[in-house]
Amino acid sequence: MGVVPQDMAFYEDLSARENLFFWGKLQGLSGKILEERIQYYLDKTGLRGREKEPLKKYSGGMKRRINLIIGLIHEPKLLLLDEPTIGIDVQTRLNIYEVIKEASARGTTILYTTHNLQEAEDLCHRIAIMDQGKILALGTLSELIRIVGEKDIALVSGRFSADEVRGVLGSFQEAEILSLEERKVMLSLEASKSMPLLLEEFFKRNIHVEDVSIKQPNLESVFLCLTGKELRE
Amino acid sequence: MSVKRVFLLIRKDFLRKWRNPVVIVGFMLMPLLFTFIFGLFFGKSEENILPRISVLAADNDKSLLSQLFLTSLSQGELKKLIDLKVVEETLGRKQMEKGKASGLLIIPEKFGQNIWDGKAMELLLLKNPAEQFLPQVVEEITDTAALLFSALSSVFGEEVGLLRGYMEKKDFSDQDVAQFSVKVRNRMQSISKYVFPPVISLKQETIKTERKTLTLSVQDYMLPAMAVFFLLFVCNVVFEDVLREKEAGTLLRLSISPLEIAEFIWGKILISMAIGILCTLILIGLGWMIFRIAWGDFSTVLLIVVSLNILCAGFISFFYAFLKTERQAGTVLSSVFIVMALLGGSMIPVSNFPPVLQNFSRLTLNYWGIQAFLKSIGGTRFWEMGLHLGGMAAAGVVFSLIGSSFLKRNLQRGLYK
Repeated sequence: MGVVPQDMAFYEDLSARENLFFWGKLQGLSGKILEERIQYYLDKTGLRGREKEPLKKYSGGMKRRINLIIGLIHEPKLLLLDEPTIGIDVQTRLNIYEVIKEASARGTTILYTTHNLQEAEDLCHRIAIMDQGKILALGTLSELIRIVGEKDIALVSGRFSADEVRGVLGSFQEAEILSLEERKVMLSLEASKSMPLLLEEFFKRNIHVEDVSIKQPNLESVFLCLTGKELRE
Repeated sequence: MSVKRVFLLIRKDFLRKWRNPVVIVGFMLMPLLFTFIFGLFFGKSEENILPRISVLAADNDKSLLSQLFLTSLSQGELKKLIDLKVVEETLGRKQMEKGKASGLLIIPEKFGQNIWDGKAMELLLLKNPAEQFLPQVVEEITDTAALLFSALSSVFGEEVGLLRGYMEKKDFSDQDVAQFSVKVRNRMQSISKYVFPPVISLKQETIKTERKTLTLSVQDYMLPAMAVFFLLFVCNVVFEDVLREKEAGTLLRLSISPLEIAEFIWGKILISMAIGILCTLILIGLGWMIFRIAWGDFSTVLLIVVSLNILCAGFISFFYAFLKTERQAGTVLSSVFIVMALLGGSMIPVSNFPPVLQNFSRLTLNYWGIQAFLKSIGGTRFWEMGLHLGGMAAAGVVFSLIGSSFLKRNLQRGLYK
């Protein structure tokens, strides 16, 4: 098993090479194999040429890359990644994605923890949605979207208050509120059937609507549907 | 437990300390600095043990005898000890009020006259209250000089009378001088059987032993004493990585690798021991080069260093079993080290303690370490202190075993929180 914690878990006073040598040795690698792996991952992450510098001199992005390599150097069967792309630039993020995809293609099972739902959509074969320490849903992206149903996501904005919207939707069973704030509401509904009826209801009550956009449900809408809009600790 | 993995950890930690040696080097230099400073205060040289004592003298008599008396205070060996200045009494008193001398000796008027007459008189010695023992020295010296003058005046009373007559007349013949010389000679002959040779004499003899007599300089004591004290800090700096690695998350990562927590702990114990040994040996070398400390037989010194460091590392690992954060460790252990240094003789030699406190000294690591070094400096070889060294090493091993088992439990408990 390999692990890539969210915090940088390595020895900053040692160089990249010394760190990789230590962690590789500890995982049972040695000799030529260890040397080849070190070279390969240094090349892969663009750190070749800087490998003799102590890690405390590295930028945040470079440290993230080393943090990832340490978890990968022994090519584990299972790799745990805890938000490996937090606080880094776009190039480093893309590089990390590439390394992760390569490990996955090699047969490594990767458990990837993230708050970035787009990342999960792009990288993961199966996704678990967790809230308050409990798994609320688990499946592929399309399986999860089915939880929301065949419904669409409608984003309605205008000059209205949250209470006015609640008043309208209290008697309108065809739509479900995914998120609600002043002047903006996200709804789950069958747009072609229910949207004209809903807009009519808004007009009847003199609620001014400025914009309506309809989109297919995504992981974010599934997440909001399952966990609600309330802030977490 | 894999020895290979333990050595991998030791290598890694050694490299880390090698890259950041500032704190350890700082702790290593401290004993040298302390020894140097103490050496300046209480140097090795037997000369100038006391500073020259500044003494003022107000001669209100200004006679031949009063001048003779004052001269006697600043002759021969006394001249090295006493810096005598003759001043007017009022000026002398003012100087004393300002604390500029250890004592003011006031010779009264008619001092010479009274000696000629054999009358009792008093010399006045004003002592500086701000000083502890220098005025006492002045008092003793003045007292002795006064006693000597009194004795001479009693024994040679008749001759003194004769001499006074000659001096008052300021006119004396060769016959007078011959008569005076004969009288003095006769007096000397009559007292010679009491004075030469003295009835009581002091015979001095130095006992010769096979072992070198332990005469320690300040440096001989201070460096081992301070080395043991700061060695604890060095070992602590290395060992506190246990908590630092836990806080930094590397311990969690290590625990997911094939490494066992016990291996991690023993790695830390051994690296703190190894760095401690290295630092102590360097200190010993520097002590020999800078202060010329003759540490004794090398194999003995080496065994002392090893057993002392086993004890230090074990002792510290024991404490870490009960400490949860780096800050907590810093506060608790610094206090423990200072108390042990005070009790164990790192700051004040144990021989200066009251007997009850001396018993408590034996409970400290410092005491055993310092005593071992002092014995070696005194010429004792390792086979003569096998119990001492074996005891230190055994205590270290016991501490390590207890400490590592408790620490293992605590680390495993808090690791995944």
